[in-house]
Amino acid sequence: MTFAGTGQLLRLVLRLERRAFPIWIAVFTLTPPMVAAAFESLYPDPASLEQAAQAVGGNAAFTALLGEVYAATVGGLTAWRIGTVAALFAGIFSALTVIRHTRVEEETGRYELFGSMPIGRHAPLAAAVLATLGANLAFAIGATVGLLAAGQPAEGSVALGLAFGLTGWAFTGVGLLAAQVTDSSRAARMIASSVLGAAFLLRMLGDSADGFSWASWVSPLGWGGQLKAFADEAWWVVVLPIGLALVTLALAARVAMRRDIGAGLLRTRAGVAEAAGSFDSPWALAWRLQRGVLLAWAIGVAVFGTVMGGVAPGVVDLGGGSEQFRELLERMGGTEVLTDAFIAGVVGMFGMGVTAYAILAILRLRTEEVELRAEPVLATGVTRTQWLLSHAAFAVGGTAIIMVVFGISAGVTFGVIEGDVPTQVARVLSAALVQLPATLTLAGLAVALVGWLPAHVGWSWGALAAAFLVSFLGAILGLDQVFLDLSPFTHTPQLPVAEFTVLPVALLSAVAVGLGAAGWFGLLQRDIA
Amino acid sequence: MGPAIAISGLVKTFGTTVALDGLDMEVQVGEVHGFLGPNGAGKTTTLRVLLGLLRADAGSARLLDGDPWTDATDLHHRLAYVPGDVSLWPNLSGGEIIDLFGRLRGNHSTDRRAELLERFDLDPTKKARTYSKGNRQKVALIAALTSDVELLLLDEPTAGLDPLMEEEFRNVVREETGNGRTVLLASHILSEVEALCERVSIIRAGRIVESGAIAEMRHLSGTTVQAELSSPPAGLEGLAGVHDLVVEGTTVTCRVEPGALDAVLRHLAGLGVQRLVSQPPTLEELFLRHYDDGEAGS
Repeated sequence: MTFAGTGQLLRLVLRLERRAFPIWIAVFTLTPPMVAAAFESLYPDPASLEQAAQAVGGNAAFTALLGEVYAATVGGLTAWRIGTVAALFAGIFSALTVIRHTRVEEETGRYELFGSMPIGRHAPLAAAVLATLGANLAFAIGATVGLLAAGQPAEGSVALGLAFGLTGWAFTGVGLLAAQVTDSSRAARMIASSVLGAAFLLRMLGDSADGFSWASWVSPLGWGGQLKAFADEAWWVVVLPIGLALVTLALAARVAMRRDIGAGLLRTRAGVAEAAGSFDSPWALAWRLQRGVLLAWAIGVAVFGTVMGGVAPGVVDLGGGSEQFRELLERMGGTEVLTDAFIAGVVGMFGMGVTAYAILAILRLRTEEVELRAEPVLATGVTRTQWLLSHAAFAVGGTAIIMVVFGISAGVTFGVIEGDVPTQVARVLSAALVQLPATLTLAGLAVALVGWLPAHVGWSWGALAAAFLVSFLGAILGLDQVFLDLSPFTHTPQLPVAEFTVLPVALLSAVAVGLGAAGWFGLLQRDIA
Repeated sequence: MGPAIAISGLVKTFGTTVALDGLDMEVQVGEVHGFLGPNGAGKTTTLRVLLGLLRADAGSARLLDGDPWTDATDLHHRLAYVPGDVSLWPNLSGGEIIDLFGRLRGNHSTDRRAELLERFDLDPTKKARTYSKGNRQKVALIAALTSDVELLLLDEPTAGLDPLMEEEFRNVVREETGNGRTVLLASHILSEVEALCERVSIIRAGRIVESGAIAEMRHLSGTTVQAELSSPPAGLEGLAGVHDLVVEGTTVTCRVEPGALDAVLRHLAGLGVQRLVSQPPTLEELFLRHYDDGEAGS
């Protein structure tokens, strides 16, 4: 192994990430103390904390989504509320970052430049890994310092920080391994996100279904919870994520040593000599470019929906009936009927998740432009309008398909258990489809950015992140209604808990169409890179 | 019917960068027109304006008697374009990409496709991800050449091709012009332009600094004469039409205007010529004259 020049390359990676890393570190540092402070003011005395902990801890819906509550303290509730989601985000961040600085660099040919320099063969990988591990270490330290500053016990603060950072370490290894075995960054991301999705479902199963507690121990996203921050910290659990990181990193290094530059273990197959007769339009091209992602989402969502539908009925049996719990549920956006609240909550989260798909589908336009593939297409008989619509069709149609898949998969399993499939499918399906206008509002924003501020299309992700934070933490943090109203998801009727109301849905749809039309107009006017 | 391309006073700025600064250019129907200039002179920007991808800030451009911005789509059925920076979809095969572009543009021929694959020796079954730079360039060339169009816009079309393929490309372009097509060939490779083009426009910093038939431009710059003589030369500096005179011992090198050639040769003959080399000017020299700031005004 030769690592000469790793230091210089590490500086390069940090330079390239000079904007992203600080934002992520700030979010991981500031969120835990903010949530802790919110719980502190919501439940000022031990008795109310105890009640809250029992209420949410005894509710299968919450344990399914967020994990178990291990301690009836401010720290314990904080760990429960943000632990799983923060670990999930650390995992996503780590896998994407390490893939971006390894396989993407190799794919674009930038690695070859390094190959010709007096730089060790393994230095580029080492730099990418060190940077990602380092960022996760910063997450852990940041969260710990933040919690300490909020007056939380030192042991629990360190444990929760480790739960975030070490989950990130584990997925740094997973991401690197995925980047080494495949020969395209797209396939690597697909593998890493499948592992993340599977880990999330396993943890959910383990925390909610009887006889499946082993599943939480198998899932890398369950380990953070098993550390039992602010309860009886089980320090030995850190061995699991560190072990997974070491094993995956070692395997990845082994693959990297054996293969040629540009190649993976999984080979690219030869293609066809002639295109199918139907491959003759911008629509066919967009279908070719987008279908893989859509299929992957549909499969993932079908699995997610099936599990969610299976978990939902359990909520009623185990749900605590205390006033505090109802009050809390109310804050989470649900109401009386627990199953319905669970469905509404899950569907709401799901709607935001699918927005990521819708934004990705739109931003494909910008990717095509930046990578200079739009230019030759638009130099043929294809109009800009056709080009835009061919991809926008996936943001609209693809998102609708994903919603339908979720509605049917969750509705069917739920209905089978409840003994009434058609009714449940209709209820879950309508709850899912009503998310469409809010989802498309952010997709419309992405189109507007593509049309008018193409250099800043990344703001679409910022808008989604803001909407997520508002929905996920806004009520707990007691944010002003003005801020809550900024998120389109705030206005979505929460079926099946709430009644369907036309006005907000119509208004959101109008905003989505308006943003899309504005973006279209901008695209017709502007220069194509 | 007017010229295939007529540009006058074209201005395009990107922020504070002036990419095109009052560019004038005319390309007649049926000619192979060389568009010469170094990197960053504005060749690609000009082509993108002609394709309606960029909107000009001032000036006018006409393409095949249409407006490149408002009539973009109609015009695009009548032209084919090879971009300077070829980027392909990594998971599509070369064959699929060639077919897609042919179909999007129209007027493509499968016989022509087969012939070009053969001539350029390209394996169409490979995924674009696995192509070398030269092979990606071949995909772009074949994709452009399979269509029966009036105008070919080629931006550095031989980048990455080996000399054999470069020769094949020249043959294909010569055939194309034989069929009455117009070609605008943007390049910084002088030999390529010399080999293919009757007329050239030389661009520098967003302006055309010289335009016309290559033969006429050579006429302007004169012949380089190098002679080894029996005795040290004298009196040459006094002759009209002699430039860049260098004398080293008994060897003399100078650039001679066409009208002065007769007088110079007579003078040299009187000094006893041992060895004589005379070269027509290359575009290289022409080019350097325009790009060497110190001499730009001479």
